[in-house]
Amino acid sequence: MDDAELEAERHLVLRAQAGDRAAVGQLLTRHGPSIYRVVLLPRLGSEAAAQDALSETYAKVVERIAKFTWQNVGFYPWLRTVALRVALDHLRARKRVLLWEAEDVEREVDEANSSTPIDDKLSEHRDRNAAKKKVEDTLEKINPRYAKAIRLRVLEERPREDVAKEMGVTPATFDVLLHRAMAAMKKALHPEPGARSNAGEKEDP
Amino acid sequence: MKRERDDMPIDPDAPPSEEELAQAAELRLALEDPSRASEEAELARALSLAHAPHEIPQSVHSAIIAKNVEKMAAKSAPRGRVIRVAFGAGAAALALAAAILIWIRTNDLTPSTAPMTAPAPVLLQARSTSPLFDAPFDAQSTSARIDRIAMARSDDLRENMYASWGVK
Repeated sequence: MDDAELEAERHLVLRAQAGDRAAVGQLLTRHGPSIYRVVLLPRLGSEAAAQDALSETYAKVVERIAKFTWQNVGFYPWLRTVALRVALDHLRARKRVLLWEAEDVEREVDEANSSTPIDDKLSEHRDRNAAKKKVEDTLEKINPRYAKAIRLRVLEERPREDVAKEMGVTPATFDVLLHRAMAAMKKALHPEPGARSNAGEKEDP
Repeated sequence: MKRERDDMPIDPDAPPSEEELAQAAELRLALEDPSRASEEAELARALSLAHAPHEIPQSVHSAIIAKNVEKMAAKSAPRGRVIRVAFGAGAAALALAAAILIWIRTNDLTPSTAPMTAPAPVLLQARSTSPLFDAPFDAQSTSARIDRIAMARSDDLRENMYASWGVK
């Protein structure tokens, strides 16, 4: 965002803080899709949960925008922090852990609170890559055959029969392979406390 | 040989147990039908969304914005109405009080309009204390002398106050 865009956004924020609904709408229309796609959706792992969280985020924005202090890095970092807090509440209320644990997001909220303006400027870019990297890093930790099964069937969403054929097994055997792969992935994402991180992972040479 | 779990072989293609077969079938069905509850299928969908997150549909996003911005309007509107009503009521009360005050003052002032237009009262001026004493005081008896001066000045002050108020 260049200086002119920042200045335009600052005016938009001032209008929003003065109660201009159209300005609030413009700010949310501009930044909301990124917040949904790179902050909420990866952390909450479902479209329904991410949409609920986005709505809660907007409710908090409407409630608290008067308290927002402009810091010349745009509106996105503040909106991101609000969204992270909402995501954290969702994760804490959950029984099941998917990709992100509440502690992971808690750490991100702490980092956002102590971030520098440069960190804030880079936050959108970092968010874009963070989720994908988390998945890739975890896939690196498990048996390559499990990783391949997940890549083809889950990430590329290819048909079960095609993937089974490519992996040289029957569809029924592939189902077992994928089940084992998902169990290994879960364990690699959230190792049990005190357990060594050797489960379901690559064998030693 | 490393094992993921005690019941999971390290060989990804090892023969499955009955339990594994059931869990694998459950995962397959849940991947095909998102309405079926399955922890592994949920994780699979979360992985997919994290790896390649979708855009939010524009219509869904617009609806979410509209819902929350409307809340903002709904929140600010009653406050605005309350402020307007309170201000209006306050202004009306003040106007009524002012009208009553003017009416009372007008009634009160009607008889006293004359003094306002009448010449200013003649007030007693500061003057020497000599006329108060027709005989010299004893130098040792200053209290009586001061008392007489104070009494005379007090009388003058009271007279002037009555004159100013138009009582006399």
